[in-house]
Amino acid sequence: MLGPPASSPARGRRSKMRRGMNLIARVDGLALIAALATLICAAPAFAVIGFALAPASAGLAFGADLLADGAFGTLALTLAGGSGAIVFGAASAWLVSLCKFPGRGLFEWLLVVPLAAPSYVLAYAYAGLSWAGGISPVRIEGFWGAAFIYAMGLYPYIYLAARAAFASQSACALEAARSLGARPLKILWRVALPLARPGIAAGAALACMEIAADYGAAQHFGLTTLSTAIFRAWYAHGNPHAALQIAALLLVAALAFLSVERRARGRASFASGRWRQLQRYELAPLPGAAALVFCTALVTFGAGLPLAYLARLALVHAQVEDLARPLLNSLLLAGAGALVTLALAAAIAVAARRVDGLGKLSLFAAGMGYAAPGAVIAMGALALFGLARAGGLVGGLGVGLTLAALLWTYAARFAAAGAQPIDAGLARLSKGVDASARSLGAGPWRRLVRIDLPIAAPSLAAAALILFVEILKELPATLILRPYAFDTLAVKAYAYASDERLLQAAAPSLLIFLAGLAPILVLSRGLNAARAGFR
Amino acid sequence: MPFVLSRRGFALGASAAALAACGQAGLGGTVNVYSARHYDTDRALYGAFEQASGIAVQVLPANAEQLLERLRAEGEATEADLVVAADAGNLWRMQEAGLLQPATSRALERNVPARLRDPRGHWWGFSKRARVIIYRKDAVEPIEVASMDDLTHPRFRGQIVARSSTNTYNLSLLASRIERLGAENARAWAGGVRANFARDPQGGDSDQIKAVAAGEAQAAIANHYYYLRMTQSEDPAERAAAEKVALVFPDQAGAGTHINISGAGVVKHAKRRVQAVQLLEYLVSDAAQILQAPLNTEFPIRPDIAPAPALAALGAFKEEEVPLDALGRHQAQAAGIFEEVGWR
Amino acid sequence: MSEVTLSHVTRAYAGAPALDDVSLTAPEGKVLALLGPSGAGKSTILRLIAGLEPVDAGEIRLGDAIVSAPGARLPAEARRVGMVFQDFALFPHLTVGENVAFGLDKLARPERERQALRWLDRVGLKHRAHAYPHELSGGEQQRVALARALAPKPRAVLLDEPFSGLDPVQRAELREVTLGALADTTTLFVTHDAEEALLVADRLVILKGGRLLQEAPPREAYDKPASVDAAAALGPINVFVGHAEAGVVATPFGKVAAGHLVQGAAARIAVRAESLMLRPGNMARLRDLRPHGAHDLARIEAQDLVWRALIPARMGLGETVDVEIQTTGAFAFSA
Repeated sequence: MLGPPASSPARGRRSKMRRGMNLIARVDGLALIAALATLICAAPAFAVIGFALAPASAGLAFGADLLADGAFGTLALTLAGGSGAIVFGAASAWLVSLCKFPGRGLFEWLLVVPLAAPSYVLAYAYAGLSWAGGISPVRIEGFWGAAFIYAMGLYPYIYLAARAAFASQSACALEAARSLGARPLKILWRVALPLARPGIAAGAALACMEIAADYGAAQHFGLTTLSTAIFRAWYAHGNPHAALQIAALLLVAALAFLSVERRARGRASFASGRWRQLQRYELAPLPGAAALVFCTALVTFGAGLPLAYLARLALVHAQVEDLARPLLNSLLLAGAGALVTLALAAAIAVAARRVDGLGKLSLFAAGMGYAAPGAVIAMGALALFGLARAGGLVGGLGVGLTLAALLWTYAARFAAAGAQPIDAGLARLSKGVDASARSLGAGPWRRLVRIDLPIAAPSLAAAALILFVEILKELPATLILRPYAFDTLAVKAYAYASDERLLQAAAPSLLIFLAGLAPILVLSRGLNAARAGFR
Repeated sequence: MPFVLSRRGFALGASAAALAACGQAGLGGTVNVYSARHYDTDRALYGAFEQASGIAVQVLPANAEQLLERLRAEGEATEADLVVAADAGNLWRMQEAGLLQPATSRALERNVPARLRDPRGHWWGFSKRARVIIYRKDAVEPIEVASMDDLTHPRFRGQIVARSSTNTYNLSLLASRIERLGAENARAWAGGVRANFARDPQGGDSDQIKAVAAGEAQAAIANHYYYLRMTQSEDPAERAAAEKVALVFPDQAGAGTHINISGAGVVKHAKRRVQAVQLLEYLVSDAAQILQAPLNTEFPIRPDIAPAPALAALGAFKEEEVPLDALGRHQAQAAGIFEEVGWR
Repeated sequence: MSEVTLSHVTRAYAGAPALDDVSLTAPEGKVLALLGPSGAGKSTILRLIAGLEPVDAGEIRLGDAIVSAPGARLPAEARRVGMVFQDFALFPHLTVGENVAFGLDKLARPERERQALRWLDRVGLKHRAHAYPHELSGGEQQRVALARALAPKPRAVLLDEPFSGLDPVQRAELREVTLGALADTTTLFVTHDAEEALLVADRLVILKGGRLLQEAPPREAYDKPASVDAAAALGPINVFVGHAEAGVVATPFGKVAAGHLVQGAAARIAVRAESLMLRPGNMARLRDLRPHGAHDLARIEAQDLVWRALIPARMGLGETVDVEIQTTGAFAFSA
C-alpha cells in the first residue's frame, strides 16, 4: 500500500513520482459536497454582483445622492437598532443566566418570543397603534421608531447567543472574580461580558444583517436605506440594473458583517471539558423588581403589545376561511425550505471546520445572502434561471422549477442563519477530537456521521428551528417566485397591507406570529435542557 | 353582507346573459392571471367569470415590478396569459419590455374609452380611480383646495401630507403633469408641495387621511377609494375620522382631475390567448362593471354604467384628458424630479 | 510495531520554518522523547508523523514505507498511528467504553467490546466503562485517552505533553501506568519538562527553534551535550565566554578543560548548576541561598559574574565560599 522500500536502487525520479502518486490522499468527498453546497447558496448573490458589474444601458443617473443617503441610512439604522438589540439582549441574558429574581424561570424562555414576528408586522402594528388615530400617546415613527422596532424584534438573536455563552463559561472565572470582592455589575462588565463577547458578536452580526435586509418596516416608516433605495431604483425609476448595483453594495456590506463576526468569534477558547452549575446571584428586592420590570418590558414591547393589538383586530375582521390554505402552505414551505437549507448549511459549516482556508471562504460566500432583501436574491435566482433557459438547459418555469427556485432562494438567503449556530456548536469541540478520530482510522464520512453530527445535534436542531421561523416570515422572495394559487400567510398579510386593509391584514400577521411561536419556544426550552456536561 | 350577495346574484345572472350575448358559450379550460392587484374583491369577479364561462381562473398576485421580472425570466415558457395591474404606468412598462401582445375585439373597442387603453390594444382599462385632495372640514374651505396648484400656496405651510414618491400613484400623478405642462412646471409644483409638508412621507394613503382627520395636517393627496373605504369601514373609529374630512376633485375649473386605471393586457407568449381575451371582455362587460364597483369602490370604466350610490354621491367630475400611455413614459422622469426636490 | 524515521524534514508556515532539516529515528518498541521549549517544533513533528499536515521537504517513513514526502501524503486515517493529547480530546458524546472501542470497528461487536474492556483494565478503569468523559477526573480521562489510542494496536503512539494538565502527584502515578501500557510500543513523547524527558526516554531528541540540537540516549545527552543550548535543555546551566589557554578555559569560579579547542580559540563554557560544589572559603561571595526541596539554590558572585549552583540542602555556608567545578558537568564549546 505504501510503496517500495527506500533502499531500492536509484531508479531515480520516476520511481519517486510513482510513489508519490500512490500516496495521494483520497479525494475528500465531504469537501466536494461542501463546495457544491457553497456554490448553490452563493450563486444568486454572485449573480446579482455579476449583473451589477455588467455594463448598463442606463446608469444610475440620480445615483450618487440616493446611494449615499441609502448607505448612510442603513449604517445609522444598523448602529442604532443593533446597539439597542445588543444592550437588551446581553442584559437580559445576563440577568436570566446569572441572577435570581422573581419570574426568572419564566423569562428564560419567554424572552425569545419576539423572534416570531417579522419586522414588517411589528411596523404595521406599531403604526396602527401609535400614528394618527391610534391609542398610544407615544409615536413610534421615523428613524427612532424603526430603530426601536428593530431593537425590540431582533434582541433575541443576541439574547440566545449571550445566554449560550454565559452558560458555557467557566464557572471558575466568574467565581474568582466574586472572591476578589467584585460586585455583580463589575463582574458583568469586566469578566462576564468580555468572555461572552464572541457569542454576542455572532448574534449581533445576524441582527445587523437582518436590519440591512429589511424593506417593509423601513418603507412604511418612510426611511431611506439601501434596501428602500434598491426598490426605489427598481420600481420608481424603472431601473432594475441600478437596483442590482445597490444590492451588490449590500452584499459587500454583508461580507463586512460576516468577517467582523468571524474575527470576534475566532478568539473564543473552546470547551475546557469541565462544567459546574453556576451559582446565581440573589438580587435584593429593589434590583430584583427592576429586573422583572425590564424583562417584562422587553417581552411586552417585542411581542405582547403588537400581538394583542393584532389579536383584537383579527378577532373582529378576520376572514377565517381564507386563512386555512395559506397556513398550510406556509407550514409546508417553511418545513421543506428549512430541511433543504439545513442540509446545505450543515455541509458548509462542517467543511469550514475541516478544510483549512476554503472552509472559511465558504461560510462567507454562502452567508452573503443574509444581508440582502429577499427580492434581490430572488432576482438573482430568476436571472440564473433565465440564463439556464437561454442556454437550453431548462424549459419553462413550471411548478416544479418554480418551487425549486423558491427553495433555492431560501437557501441562498438563509444559509447564514443555519450555518452560524452549527458552526458555533462545532466550535465547542476541541481540536484534538478530530485529529484523534483520524488517528483511529476514521475517514471523513465516518467522522461526519459518528463525531461531528452527533456532537452538533443540538445545534442542528436549533438551526432547523431558526430556519423554519425565518422562512415562515419571509415575504418578498415568496411573493415573486411562488407557484399559482399558492399563497402563504406572509403573502396574504402583505396583500392586505399593501392595499391598506390593515384590519384584514391583522389575522394573517397574527398567524405568522403564532405559527412561529411554537418552534421558538421549543428552541428556547431545548437550550435549557441541553446542559449536559459535554456542552 | 346581504347587499353584496344580492348584487352578486344579479351579476351572476347578468354575466351569463352577457356572455351569451358575446356569442361564445363556455370554452372550458383555464386562464392564468398575473395580477398586481391584491383586492379580495377580484376573487368575486373571477369567480363570477368562472361560473359564467366555465373557464377556471388561476391568479398569482405579486408586485408589478416583480411580475415584470418574472415574466421576463420566463420568456416563451411562461404560463401566464393575462396581466392585471393597478396603474397604467406599470402596464406601459410591461408593454415597453415586450411582454404584452395586442389584443382587440369589438366588445373591447366598444366598451373601453379610447383614452383609457393602449392605442394598439396592448392593454385595456377596466376600472378607474381619481387622485383627489382630502381636507379637514373645519380648517379648510373647499375653494382653497380647488386645484392641485393650491397645495403649493404658502397658506398651507406645514399642513400637507402625502405618501412616498416611490409609490406608483404619485409617480403617475406627476407624470401626467409633465405630459400636460412640462418638466419645469412639474418640478415647481412638486417642490412647492414638498415645502408645505407637515412631515416626511410615511405610510400609505389611508395614513395620510387619518393624519388629516387627527389634525396633524389640513390636506392630503390620496386616491378616492381610500376615503370611501374609511366612510364604510367596520371600525367605528375610522368612520368617525372620515366624518372630519371631505373630498374634493381638484382642477374642475382647469384640466380636470388626474385619473388612473386598473387594466389588463394579454401576455405576449400566452398559451391560452382566446380565454385571456374572454376574461378581458368580461371585465369590461356590464355585469362585471356593475359587480365590481361596490366591492372595491372604484369607478367603472364604462361611461354608460352608473357607479355605485356611494360613488355617485361624490358627484360627477371632470377628468383629466391625458393619454394614459404618457403616464408610463414619464414615470422615470417623475421619479427623478421627486428625487431632486427631496420628496422621497 | 514500526520504527519511525524522519529524514531532512522541513515544514514552514507562511514563510517561517517550524522545522528545519530535521532527521531523527524513533526506534521500534522504544520511547523517543522530544524535548524543547515552546515553539521548538515538537508538536509539529507529531502532526507530520500523524499525517495531519504535509511536509515541505524531506520524507517520513513508518517502518520501510514512505508515508510523507513533498507533494504526497498517506492520509492520517490510513497510518495506524495513535495520538494522545494534552486536553485528552475524548469524544464527549460517547461513553468511556465507546471511546476506547472507536478505533476497533473492523472487529465484530463482541470482540470489540472485549478488547475495549481489556485495555480499560490495563489502565485500571474497567469499572468506569459506562461513564461519560465529563464524569471522570483529569487523570482518569488521560488514561482513557491512552487506552483508546492503544486499543487498535497502532504502529506507533504519539503523546503530546500528555501530563501537563495534571498535578505532580497525578503525573508521577500516570507516568507509571503509561509507561507500563506502552511497553514494546514505538512511542514519541513530547514534553518541555527535562526531568520527565530524562525519566521516560530510551532515546532523547533536543529541539530548539525548529532545529534538532542533539539525538542521543538520555545519559549521553546529559553527559555529552552537543552545544550550549543542548546542555541548557536538560537543566539550569551557567554560561561563560572566554579563551582557551594551555588546554583550559579560566573562569572566575575555576578552570574548565578546553577539550579539542586550539590555543587562543574563543570558547563558550557551560557548567551545570548541579555540578558546582561549594565549601566555606573566599573565592566567591554567596549572595543568597534559597531552599529548593532536597537541594538549595545558591547564587554566587565573583568578578561581577553571578552563577547559580544547586547544592545539598542545609550545608551551613558563610558569606564567602570556595567553588569547585566538577568536570562531569562542565563543557567547553567553540564560540
